[in-house]
Amino acid sequence: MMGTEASGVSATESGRHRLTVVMAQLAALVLAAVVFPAFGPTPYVIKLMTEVLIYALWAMSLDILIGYTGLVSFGHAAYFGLGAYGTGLLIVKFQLSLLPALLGGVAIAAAFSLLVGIIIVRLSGIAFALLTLAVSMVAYTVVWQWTTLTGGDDGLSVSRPPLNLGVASFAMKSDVSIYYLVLLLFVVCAFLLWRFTQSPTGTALAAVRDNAVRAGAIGYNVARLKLTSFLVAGSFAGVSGSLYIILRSFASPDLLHWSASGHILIMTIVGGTGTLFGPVIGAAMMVLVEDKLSAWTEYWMLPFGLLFVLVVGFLPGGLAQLVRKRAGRR
Amino acid sequence: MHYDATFWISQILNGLQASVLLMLITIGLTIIFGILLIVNFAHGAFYMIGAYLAVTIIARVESFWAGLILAPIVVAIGGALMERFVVRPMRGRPVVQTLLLTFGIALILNDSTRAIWGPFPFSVSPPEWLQGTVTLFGFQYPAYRLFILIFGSAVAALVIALLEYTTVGTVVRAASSDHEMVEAMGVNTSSLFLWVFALGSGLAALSGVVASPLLTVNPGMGTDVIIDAFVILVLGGLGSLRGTVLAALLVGQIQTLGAVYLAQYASVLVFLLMGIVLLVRPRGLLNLGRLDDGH
Amino acid sequence: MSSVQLLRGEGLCRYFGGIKAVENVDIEIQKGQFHSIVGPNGAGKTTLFNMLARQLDVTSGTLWFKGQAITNVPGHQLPGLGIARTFQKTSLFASLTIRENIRLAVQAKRLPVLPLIRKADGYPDITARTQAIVEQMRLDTIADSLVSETSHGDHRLTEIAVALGSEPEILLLDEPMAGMSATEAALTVGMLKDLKRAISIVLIEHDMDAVLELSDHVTVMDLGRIIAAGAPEAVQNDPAVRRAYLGTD
Repeated sequence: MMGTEASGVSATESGRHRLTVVMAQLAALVLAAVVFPAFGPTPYVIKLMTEVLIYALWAMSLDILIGYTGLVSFGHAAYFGLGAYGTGLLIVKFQLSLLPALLGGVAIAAAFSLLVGIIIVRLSGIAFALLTLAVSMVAYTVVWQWTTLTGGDDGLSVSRPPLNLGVASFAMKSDVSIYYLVLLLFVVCAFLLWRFTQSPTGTALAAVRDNAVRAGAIGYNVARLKLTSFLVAGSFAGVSGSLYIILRSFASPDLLHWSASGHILIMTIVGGTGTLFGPVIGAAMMVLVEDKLSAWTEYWMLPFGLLFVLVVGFLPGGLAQLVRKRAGRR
Repeated sequence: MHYDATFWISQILNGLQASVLLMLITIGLTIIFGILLIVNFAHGAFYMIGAYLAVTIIARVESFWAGLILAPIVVAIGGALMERFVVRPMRGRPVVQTLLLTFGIALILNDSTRAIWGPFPFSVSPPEWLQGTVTLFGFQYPAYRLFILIFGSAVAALVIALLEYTTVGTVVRAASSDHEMVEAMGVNTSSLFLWVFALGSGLAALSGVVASPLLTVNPGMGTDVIIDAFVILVLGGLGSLRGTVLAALLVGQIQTLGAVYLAQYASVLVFLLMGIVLLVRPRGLLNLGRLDDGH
Repeated sequence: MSSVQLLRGEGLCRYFGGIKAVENVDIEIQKGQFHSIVGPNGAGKTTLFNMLARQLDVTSGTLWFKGQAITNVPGHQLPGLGIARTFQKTSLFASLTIRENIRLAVQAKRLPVLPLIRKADGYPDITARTQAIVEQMRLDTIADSLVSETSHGDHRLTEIAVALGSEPEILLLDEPMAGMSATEAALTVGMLKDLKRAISIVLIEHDMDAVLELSDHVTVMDLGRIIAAGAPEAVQNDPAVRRAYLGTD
């Protein structure tokens, strides 16, 4: 569909060299992210960076669906929101500590995406997109209206639970502690997602994306592959949602609204689908631009809307395509 | 809860009136899909812009009718421009990409509208002689709602008659099921598409103008309505005019009556219906629509 | 020559509403056989082909593969059983390389359960088998090019290469030489001759020269029914066949 790269085996010499360069660059980025708090940024900036990581993970999960499987979802916010509310409710109702609450929230998001996925993967194209929209709006309405459970419009406030690791317990009250937790999980999840895309399942998804009929004809169970992709995407969206509520200590139903789905869609597509790192760029851009511009104007989204239209119309590989051109790849 | 007959009759009339407004919007959407094979996310924005333009025109000229006539025309021109410069270049690409594109346009239009008119809602008064109530079946019913019902049905009927009984209309419907054939017959499909897009957009704007005295004119009205429109599009079967009309009637009633019983959960019912139809009868409730080609 | 029955269809019918695209067809493909299905346009060849490939459900009739009934088996299970097919309209994975296209078919065959984390290129047997097919189909020079960077003729060869990735016992080829130049077609005929030694082949083709040169058995269809079947020479001279193609005796 949109900007994708040749996936699969890269056995040539230059291929290996390039890989080493990329690995080095990634290592440098991770190192920078690790030492960044040591340079004395304000708590506000630390929180902002944490948000960038959370949205970046969310955007990567959507890329699995759009870029790697060819399925456009207009309702990806639902799984983010369910992860957030799931974790939040587990903390509020059952006083779970951080890790179990996180896992619980992810499990809820995963369960929902499994349920929806089983029904939805028979469709594709517009029908699929519209159905994802409908499903997310159902989830939104339920979360919004079930005020006794979720607090409805008032939102869900949670106090940040401690991180109990058996041997030690961390209060996690400081912004820096959350930042490192999110950074760690981001790196782990990004790695897992990357490995997923390079796995037999992940490469098979490329076949489904490019030509679902042929994928079936060569022996792949296309429906099951789509379901796997949907489940993976929903679960990792759930992770980001869970981290979100832990960061912000607050969730509102808007997190599931289709306009939120629209935002993450824009981040992913503008960043460049099918690359995993493109959506990270898109997410970082959007979070940072919103932060800078929303002080001046309510209409900071306008340039993104334009950028989005331009990318869909003319630059299917998104910003990632520009980055790769500079790096000399196709 | 016990309601008397008067209550039910007025609810049903309200449902019909809601249906009529939805019908005007979705007829446009369905013929655009039928002919251009695109699902236009920006359609809701056209509805909203129609309402906002009416607000401005009425404020300037102090005539509701001026707004009613001029706003749809302006939006129709906007629609034509969009077809020419945004949609047409995307021909041949997967339909989902066009859906994404129109989604982006909708966002731009939404934000621009807010930037131009501000984030606060406007209210519009209906013309003097349409204010108040009329006596209907022995009870009082709001005059303006009745006007919507009559005027809206008339317009819808006119458009449908145009499509069903005139040569132009037949060409449009033929192009909707086989535009290569129609092209081969020498019809200029480019201008056909332009007019269809303009007509559909104008109808959406008309619905917005007509709706404006009833609802507050606010920046979220486009997005609220587009979801309903999509549901109707799917229920009616994409591209089927008959199906759309019936689906609009159904959804209008469900929303109105549903609001009585299910309050805010009424929308859940509507979405569930859409989901079921997409899965079980993708050609719509009446099995008249076309399956999307949007892989 | 052994006459082991590989793929058999009995009483196959396919109706589309009122249209009888395929009517009461019995067909049998034997092991080691090169079996062509020919007929004028609209004869029902493609419909029959798609029924054999399980891309279309039968309206009535039974399908057997090596004695096992496969009438209702989902299409994606056929490569696992030993049946592979190509498409008339080139149907490759456009954003990937030629090699990756083939590897995906080999992977589908060799990995019944697809791991989620293990690296896809960590299977030496799959890599080796992919390379073998690349060499067999003489795609070495373009194997690492993207599909979008190669020619139509290369695509048609890759079509077949991908099908070979499924290690089939029987290969269903849908007009493999469509759109090929005379040179490319001749090369393809040579390649098919090599293939037929190891794999049973079912071919739909309009190129009658190729059909007569390659086939052990020809089935002729017209208007949904079989009007002649047998050795190429016999079928060529069959009056019913002449009538169907030329309208005269």
